[in-house]
Amino acid sequence: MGYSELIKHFDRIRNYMHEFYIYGFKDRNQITHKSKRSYDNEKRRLESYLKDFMSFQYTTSKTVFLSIDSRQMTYNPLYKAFEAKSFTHKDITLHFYILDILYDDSQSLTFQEILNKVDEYLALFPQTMHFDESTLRKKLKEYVNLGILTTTHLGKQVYYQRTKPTDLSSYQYALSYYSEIFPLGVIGHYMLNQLQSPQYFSFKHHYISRAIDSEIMAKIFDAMKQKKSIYLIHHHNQSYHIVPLRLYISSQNGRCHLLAYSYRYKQIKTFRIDHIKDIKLSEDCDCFDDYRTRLKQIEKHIWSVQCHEKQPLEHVSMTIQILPHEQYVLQRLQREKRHGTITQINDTSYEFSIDIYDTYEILPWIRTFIGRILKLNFSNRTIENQFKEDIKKMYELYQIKGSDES
Amino acid sequence: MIFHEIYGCYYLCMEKIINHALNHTLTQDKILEIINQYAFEDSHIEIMSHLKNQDWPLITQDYHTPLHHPSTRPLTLLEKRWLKSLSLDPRIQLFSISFDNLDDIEPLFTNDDYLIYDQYLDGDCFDDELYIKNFQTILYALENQFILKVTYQNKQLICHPTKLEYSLKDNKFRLKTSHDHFHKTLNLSKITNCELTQQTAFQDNKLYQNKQSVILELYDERSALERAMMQFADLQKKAEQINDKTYRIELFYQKEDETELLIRILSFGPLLKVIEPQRFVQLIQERLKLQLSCGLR
Repeated sequence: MGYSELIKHFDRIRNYMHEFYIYGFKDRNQITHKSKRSYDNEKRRLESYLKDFMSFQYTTSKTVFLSIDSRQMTYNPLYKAFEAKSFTHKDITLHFYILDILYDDSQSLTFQEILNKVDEYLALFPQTMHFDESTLRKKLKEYVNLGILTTTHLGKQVYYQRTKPTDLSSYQYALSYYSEIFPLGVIGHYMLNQLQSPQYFSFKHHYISRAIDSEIMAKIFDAMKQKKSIYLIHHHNQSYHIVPLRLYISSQNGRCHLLAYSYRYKQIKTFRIDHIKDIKLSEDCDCFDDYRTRLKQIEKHIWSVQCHEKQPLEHVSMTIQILPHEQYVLQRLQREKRHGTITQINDTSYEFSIDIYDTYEILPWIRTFIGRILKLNFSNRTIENQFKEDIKKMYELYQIKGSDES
Repeated sequence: MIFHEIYGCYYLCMEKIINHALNHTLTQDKILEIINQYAFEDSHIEIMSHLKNQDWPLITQDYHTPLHHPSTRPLTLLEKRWLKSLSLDPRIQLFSISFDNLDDIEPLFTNDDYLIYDQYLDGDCFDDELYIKNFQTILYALENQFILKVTYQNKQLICHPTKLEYSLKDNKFRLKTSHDHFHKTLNLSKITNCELTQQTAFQDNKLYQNKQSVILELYDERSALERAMMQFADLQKKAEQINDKTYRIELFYQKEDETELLIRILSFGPLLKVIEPQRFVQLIQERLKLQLSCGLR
């Protein structure tokens, strides 16, 4: 089959978008999801969707990457790829015919009346497309499910109408803001396409790649709404039967995780969203509320996303130097401490402490206080020692004199 | 279903094309213009071919249409449910909009369904009346190109508003302003008064143009490569593999964000080393010298 710009399943480009956007240095030989021909086609598609943002560079070979300064963006360019769903000639024709026939919400017509009008429209064209009844019935049913049309029953007769219009003009600012910062913002983007929307917002610390996993997130929200368990298919094809409880979204690295109750491990486990290949809804979960309450109870011990319910908590404390004129550092500590506690030790030092499931998770944050760390006390001594070794390595890397004696 | 053709750019183009046909303003050039504006780079090939062959019996050879009414699409249930979710978010108060028409709609998700776990704890007060008033005055000024008189930390400023910048990490809005070719950033929560003054045409293309760069060498251990590429995904960057485990990354950033970037680099410990510029290397060295003097053992 020849190349087509549109695709049937978003999955087809999802991995490539992650590769081009997040990594950006891999060449054709290093991206090994599928064949080289598949790589060429998907690269060509993404170049077409994201024409202004795709770049390439030559080193030893040609590498393709998405070059985006998200602070300069007033909208997420990755949403454009969600406008590439394929369709048939009959799909697009019926779409415009049906919405024209039911042009406002006062029009209420039967199936037969709609079919007759479709034939009238088609008569204007010499190469007449033919719609059998089942095609039209399926399309009407699909549009009722999508919420574009509604039905009313009078006796045995079913009447179709379009749903009441929503004036989006008063929503335009909210849409341009929330489509960027709110989960499943691509839906806001779809509505913005119907408006002439000026862009007055810009975004800092803006991780746009979450958009790529919108379909997975939508299925998870759907399962939570219905309080259902799901079968989660991991990208290595393992399957997990779990109850999705809450999405954990990072504002500092763009990652998104699902915290879910695992039937196999009988505890709450963590799953990375971009590692999920597919999700299938399973049965109702009567214990959904109990599991969610359980997660809320342990939330204060989760620094980022890891929780190992069956293991003992690990204690972490750090004493840092803050001079009296450096109150901005204390403010920083207070706003970044999450569930930790801060205690003033003396005029120039403060102790931060917390009990968490995984000390590894807090290390990057503790390193941001390099230059002020007076004392560390981790119950996990292995990690504490590793942290101190890392600091010694940094002294060596940056040739800090006097570090040999430390 | 999120990935559906009715949200696609081909349908959007056809909507615009049909509306021009109804107004008798449709030409081949107009069709191409619409496709270039709303669809993808290669879309003109497919769309023009389908229209010419009348695979889509929507536009006749002489640019008319059998349709009778301007094409509009009602919102889908998915869109309404997403809007309903918006109505539950505390920041929605800033926009003073009504959701009465969604009374019978279930939200797509609620605040219990997700958590921004690493958001800072001192975010703006989105329910503060003065904050909301200032936010709306600024939006009005941006739309209608008004100069603003702002009281900020007890000082009066006259400025052109250029953008309202939001950070999810800080949970704060900042007003980006321009005055006499100087850019200034004001925390919205610290603005105590904000008034419209005169209206004037204004365009600022230089915001965010003053970029610096830093070159890093990354040693890929403990998934450092993946963590760094994710962590710095918000910045424009270039990456290159040097050898099996070593990568060279160039990051572009705004000068005002230098301290924050320094901290972000430090968080990777010895797995990320600043190579250039020397000035940035010295900033890291200073922090390490201070750390050495802390006597951590």
